[in-house]
Amino acid sequence: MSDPVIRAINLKTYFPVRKGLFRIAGYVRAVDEVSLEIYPGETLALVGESGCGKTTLGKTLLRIVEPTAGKIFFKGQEITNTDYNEMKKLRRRMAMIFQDPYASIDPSYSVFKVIEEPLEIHGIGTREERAELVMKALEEVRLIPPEEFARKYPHMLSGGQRQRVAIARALVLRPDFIVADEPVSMLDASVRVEILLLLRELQKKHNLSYLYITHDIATSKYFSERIAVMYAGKIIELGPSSMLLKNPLHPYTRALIDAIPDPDPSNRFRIREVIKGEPPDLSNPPTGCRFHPRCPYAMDICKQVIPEFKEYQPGHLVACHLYD
Amino acid sequence: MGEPQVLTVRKLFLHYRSGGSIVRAVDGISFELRGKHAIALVGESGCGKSSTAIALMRLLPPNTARYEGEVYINGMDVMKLPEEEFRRRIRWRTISIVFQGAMNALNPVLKVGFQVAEPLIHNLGLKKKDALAIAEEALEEVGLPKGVSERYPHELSGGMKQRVCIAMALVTKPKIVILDEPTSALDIITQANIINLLKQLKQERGLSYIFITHDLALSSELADSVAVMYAGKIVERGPADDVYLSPAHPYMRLLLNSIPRLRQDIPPSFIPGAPPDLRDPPSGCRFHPRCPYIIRGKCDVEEPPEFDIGGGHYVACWLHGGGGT
Repeated sequence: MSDPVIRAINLKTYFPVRKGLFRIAGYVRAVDEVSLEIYPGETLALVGESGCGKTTLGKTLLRIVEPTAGKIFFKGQEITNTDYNEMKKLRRRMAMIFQDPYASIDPSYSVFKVIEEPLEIHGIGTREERAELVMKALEEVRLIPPEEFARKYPHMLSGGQRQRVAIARALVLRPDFIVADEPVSMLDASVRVEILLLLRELQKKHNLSYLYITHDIATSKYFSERIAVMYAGKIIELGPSSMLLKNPLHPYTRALIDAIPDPDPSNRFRIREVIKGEPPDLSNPPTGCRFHPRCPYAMDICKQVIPEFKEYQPGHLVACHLYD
Repeated sequence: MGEPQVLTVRKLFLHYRSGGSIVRAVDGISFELRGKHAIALVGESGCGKSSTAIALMRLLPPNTARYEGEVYINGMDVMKLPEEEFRRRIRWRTISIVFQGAMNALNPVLKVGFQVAEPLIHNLGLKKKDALAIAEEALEEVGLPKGVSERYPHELSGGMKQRVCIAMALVTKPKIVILDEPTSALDIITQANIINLLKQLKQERGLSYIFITHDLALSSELADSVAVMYAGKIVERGPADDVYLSPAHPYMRLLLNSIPRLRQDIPPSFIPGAPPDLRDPPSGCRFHPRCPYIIRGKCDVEEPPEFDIGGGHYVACWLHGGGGT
């Protein structure tokens, strides 16, 4: 396999909890000792419930949020401590797509300006060259005819069209790596598939790597090569999508998968087995395995020792004492 | 089939004024609901699902332009009732609703118990003390721990707040409950817990549900029957087994194909185009501009009526009647 586009080693992102003006009372451990790699042309889906640290991890990889500890490499180059100016140059090659296309696009900007802005910030091309790049980006995301869409304002567009604009904006700088944070969760089912297929097509064309952050495991089955499952700030399982979904190892992964319905009318006759409780408070996570208070298989060791994240089968890693 | 019908809706309309035009949100829909049954009202956003709920609860916004039709509850046409009588006898007491996003609309400065008791005080005229006692029971029934009635919304998790909203809809002991996207802001595991609760309550209390959702996979968790809405119309309705397993309307077939399935290997596909503007819907069948099976000169001209294709399964599509195929 070729070198990863992104590699994180023991990454931590803690947010201080302040009491009064100066005293730090503790930390929210949003990302805690996470290691992962994403390869060229690959989608890694990052799944988990809200508040588990998915978005913070995505933002830390781009250094939109600063890591507390650990290392980040982008195409082999360490970027953990890269200074502002150098980072700005590198940012050309990475981008982020957000969940809410109603909030992530400036409503006072025309579509043209939304997509041109990153080019301007990075001082790319003349006016004419930029206009050409914008038109090309619009065509790539199928907002056709591009001249017509370029003149529109966000309020004139549907949710799906707005998300296409956000994708065009992310793509216009020709990045290598994109963090897509719940890019389709606010859209209707059919539009979701349309946008995800578009992202896949653009990925093939430009050999892009995606971190696809989602709570929707069913879409990650069809739109990612590998899946990482996050719980309470930690990645607890990671593996090739089909392998992980067919043979989930971690009790939490199993619980997540069991909770997902398929459109099947026999569902109505059964009560699903569901784990109880809620994810823990990240400023005071449980000792040992963070899932142990909710785990149906919890043993004594789970309360005391943090399970190591290690390979169970080639490419399939899990952090659970059941596999010690 | 056994249970008698508790709700029959015939040619229900709800149109709004918007600027200089009319938005035909609910445009002459008909369906039935049996006792102890759940009907899922499914469709994409903007198809008129939530407006149907508003029409049934008669909670009309000021820009309502047209509100008519027949709504029989236990055999009585409640559309004929004057507002005062509807408020006293029907709304909350017979038919209640869990609004979409309700858990984020709880009053932050009032204790949860009092908020659940409010409909009893205001709509049923109970004394505060009695109402609070009943609210306490209702909160327990939806699986919340004792003492929760003394707490404020910010002290509760999303799943707990949603349970409070369900308790609020049940406290007046209605027979029919409208659930408008009751789990849309919740995580998948919390969602599964809430759906289990709704299944239990349906059984134990003999409730009937109108389950409004855009999520077809989720709708199958509760639905005994399904009504598929598109652009203000019901285009297909029938027993759950028929509609999910052998959908008849091209829209429903394509919509089912767009659902990524976890337990089968069927790559999802999408429906090209977008739903129409309800201010100016297409002529004939409203789905015809997106339909791959369009019969030119028919579907784009004449609106299809509902065809009975057997076993209580109806479909509004020219492919299934009208002397055609």
